[in-house]
Amino acid sequence: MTNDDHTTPGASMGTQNDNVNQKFRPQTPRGYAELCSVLGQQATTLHKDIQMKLSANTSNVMQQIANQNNVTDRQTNTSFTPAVTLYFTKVCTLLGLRPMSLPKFAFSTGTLASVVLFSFLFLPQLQTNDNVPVPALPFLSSPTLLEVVITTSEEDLLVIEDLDLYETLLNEPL
Amino acid sequence: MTKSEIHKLESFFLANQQKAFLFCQYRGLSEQDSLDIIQDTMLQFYKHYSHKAESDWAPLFFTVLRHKLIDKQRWLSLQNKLFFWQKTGNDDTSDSHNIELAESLFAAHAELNKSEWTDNECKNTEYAVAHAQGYKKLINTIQMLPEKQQSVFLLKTINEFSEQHIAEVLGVSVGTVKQHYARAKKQLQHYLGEQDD
Repeated sequence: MTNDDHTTPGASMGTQNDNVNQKFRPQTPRGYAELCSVLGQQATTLHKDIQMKLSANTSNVMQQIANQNNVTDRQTNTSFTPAVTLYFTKVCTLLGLRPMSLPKFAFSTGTLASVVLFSFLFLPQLQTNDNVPVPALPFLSSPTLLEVVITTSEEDLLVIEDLDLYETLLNEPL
Repeated sequence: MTKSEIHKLESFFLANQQKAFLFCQYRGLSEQDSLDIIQDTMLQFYKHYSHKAESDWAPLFFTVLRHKLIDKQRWLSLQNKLFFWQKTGNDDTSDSHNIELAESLFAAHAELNKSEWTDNECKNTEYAVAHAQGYKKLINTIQMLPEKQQSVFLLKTINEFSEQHIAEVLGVSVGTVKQHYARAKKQLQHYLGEQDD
């Protein structure tokens, strides 16, 4: 029997499907009886990885049963998942959290990190007062003068409020 | 329980674990959930039914398994409602597990037809993937069957249970089992017929 025999009869009726399509046409059991046979056979064709997990699963159960019955000559099987991880997984499941794939996790973490960085680094920049005109404070623009004002006595500070003296101070070398 | 009884129980579990796993998988459960449910079923079976006659073990084991599956599916449904922003069951995960199931179905089909199929058809990975996609549709059709029809169909095909045993598992009469099986068969025949058109 060839591959074509398993495909739809229409394919052999001269339809214009090319060879590539013909080659990869999904092939399913031709009738109900064959489907039942295939399903009956499927338990033996499970992936080896799954079969190993199932055996380990059963061994763990049998170990527990043996312990309860004080049968001690059974080999201890190492579990695939540590107890702490299992407990953590159960708690997460109860909270509605599910384990996610690495790309999904990376995408979610990346998005969250971007939002946080945007909020803390970029948004404050937008709120700066750079564009607001600041009234001119000449003594602030001159660090030396500012220093003089600060270090002089309280009287000097009062004097500086006098505009005439202020002009004089500006024009005269310190 | 004596050592020999424990050994018998272990042999029974080992003989039925793959069938139980397939039963869970066709019900749409993830691999981890399936393994957990099988483990719980084994422990509960040991606790309540291991003293029964060995000939009754298989129907009793699958009765416990079916009840646990129904409970789990109810819980998942509730979880979907409570945490509606996190869809469980019909996402990429279940899609990928259907692909794995389809691949093993393809392997079973190839095993049955290995005398007729060419080596290329049986071993070529691309070929297997293309075929697995076709099987995925078939698996979806089985998964879409109502719960009782699906249970009857799976117990009859995977476990090769008699109608009497299926009736014990489902807690219904043999007549009802026949009715559910006929309906499931009709739907699947209809699907396979559509494929042939």
